[in-house]
Amino acid sequence: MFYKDYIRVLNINLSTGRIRVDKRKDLRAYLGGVGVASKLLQENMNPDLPPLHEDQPIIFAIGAASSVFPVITKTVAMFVSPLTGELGESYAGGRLAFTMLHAGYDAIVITGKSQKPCYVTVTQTGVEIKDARAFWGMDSDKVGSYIRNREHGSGKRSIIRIGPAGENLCSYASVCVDTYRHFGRLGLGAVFGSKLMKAMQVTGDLPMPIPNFKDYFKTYSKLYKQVTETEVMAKYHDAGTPINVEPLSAMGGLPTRNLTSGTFEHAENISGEAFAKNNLIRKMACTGCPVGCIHIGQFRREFDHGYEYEAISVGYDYELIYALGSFLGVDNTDGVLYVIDAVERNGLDAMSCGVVLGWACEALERGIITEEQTILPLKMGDYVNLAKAVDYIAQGVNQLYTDMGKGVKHVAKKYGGYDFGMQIAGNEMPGYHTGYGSLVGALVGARHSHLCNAGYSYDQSNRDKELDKEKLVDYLISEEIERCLLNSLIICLFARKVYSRENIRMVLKCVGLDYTDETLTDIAKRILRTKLEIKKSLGFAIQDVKLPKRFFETPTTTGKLDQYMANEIAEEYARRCEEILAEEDESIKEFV
Amino acid sequence: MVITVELFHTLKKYNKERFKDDENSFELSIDGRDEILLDELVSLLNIPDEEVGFATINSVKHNWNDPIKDGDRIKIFPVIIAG
Ligand code: SF4
Repeated sequence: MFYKDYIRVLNINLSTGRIRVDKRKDLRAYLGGVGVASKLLQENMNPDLPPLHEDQPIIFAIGAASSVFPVITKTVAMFVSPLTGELGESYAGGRLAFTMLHAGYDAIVITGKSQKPCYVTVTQTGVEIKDARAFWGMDSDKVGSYIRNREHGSGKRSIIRIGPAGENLCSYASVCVDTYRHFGRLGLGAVFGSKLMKAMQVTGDLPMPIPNFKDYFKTYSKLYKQVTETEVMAKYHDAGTPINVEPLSAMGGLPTRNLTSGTFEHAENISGEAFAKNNLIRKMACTGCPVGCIHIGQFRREFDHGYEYEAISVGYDYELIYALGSFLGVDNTDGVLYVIDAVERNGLDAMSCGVVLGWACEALERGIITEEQTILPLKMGDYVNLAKAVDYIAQGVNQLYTDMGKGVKHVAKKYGGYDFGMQIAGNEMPGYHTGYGSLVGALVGARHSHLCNAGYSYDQSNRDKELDKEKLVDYLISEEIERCLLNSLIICLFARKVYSRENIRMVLKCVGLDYTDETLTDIAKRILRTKLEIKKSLGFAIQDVKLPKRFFETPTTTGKLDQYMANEIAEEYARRCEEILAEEDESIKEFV
Repeated sequence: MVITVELFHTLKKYNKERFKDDENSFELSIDGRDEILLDELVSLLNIPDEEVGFATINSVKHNWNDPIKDGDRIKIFPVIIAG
């Protein structure tokens, strides 16, 4: 909490119904957000139990300066990932951080398992665990509106919930946050499902007085100006991230048709401009963000013969367009939105889902699986059947679809086609086939995401230069460390250029934390160390990762990659991690 | 030589006066030259290097020192950032 020397943690045990609030001074050493959540995960998880065991926890945490500065909007969720079996870390915007702040909690720890389907309501005065049997089986948008109607209170509340995929324990089920945001990656939805928890509503009304308002206002105004006046942010507001589609395709970095190519010949048809012209109806923002990058598109769907149509609105961004567009050969904006809608309704992670479907289309074509198993004549570009397949995955209609719900690594190992099941350490690939930076970055990144260390960005700025292994490893590791800091405040990463060290220190000062640069670096390293320890305890080792061959067959924006070189870079990174793990953490004493 | 230049999003502002109405692209004539390097074109258009992400010549991948010829169509994109 602001101006307090402790972190306020709400503990909810779904098995016993016991609720406890802790004030933890020691957690200040981790600042907030991902730092606090990592430590709480480490304390509460059990490495010897499977990820979906009821004793495994779910941790939510907000940052040290959540919501009171522009674009500091996100909440982190941490858990043991049912998809990779190791560190689960996912971020979502919307209203959750804002409501947690005003309910008076820096972090929420959920353990145990409810006896029957439940949803949890959290307010500043307490927690209630309520019957959700009537909601079980509902799509995530429907359950949101039911809870909204049933529960009192409006305005400052956030409702997060799962769809059928989470209930059925799909390993990459997502959690929908306030309709258009998600904890998408690594399967938090399945962890909700394993606890029979359909949803959580957080409502908060506590005032948050800022003692030195004059300084706060000065700092806020400065940052607001920077955020709203930078070109990058304007770009995100205008066309949004889909602006990346065309240039990436032109340069050969847009994963297309199960990564058989890096160029999509129909990229122009699914570009940011195309979506803006054909479908865009509205832009929205997370609470506390003056940018508003959330783009909502609408398409028309025939639900019955005789010209019976309905208008469907869904959010879209680059990652979704890559995974459910170019990766699946879908060449028009309506088609992409059609598949996105299926993914949304069922509550799945779009990237994982697209990559799994890409494998399935190719596996069927090659005769590795049969049409009897796929039920549908699955093929690239056929968005109607691809959307049906999304329903089948979420429902686990037969053995193949149940297996597909466990992720592409699982299914490719079981049925064949490991070399074209496009995952990195068990997580389905992100939308950047740009070079060693993107590939090795995702391999070594703590959560195997393109956002761990932005390797794609390194590829972009170094693409005309010869590969310098040392420089790349330096970049990846320093970016990973810096992002631990950004994610402990939980700044939306779109605004990371605005939040320089100088600005971060100013922000922290306004909430009562006066830290030197050195202290901040120590905190960031401490967070990374904690994450690495968690990964180690869950059995992860960089050296064990076997990448599918296709990564090395399809040229990237920087040319074809060499498997041995990728391994060498990854091993050097692993060596550097060992050094970080072995470092003495002297400065933690300051916090104890 | 005359070429067509298409600039995307934030890069447009460096050449506002060259765009007509709603168009995304404009024609550029460069007197006394048969070819010009992509790098040179970027400077000619006053676009700061750090803002340029990708560029294509006739929709094909390029190198910064690739030559542009009469009649070519150039697309210049800003840097890619994800969040
Ligand atoms: S830039 Fe977009 S994702 Fe980030 S806080 Fe603003 S609206 Fe949310």
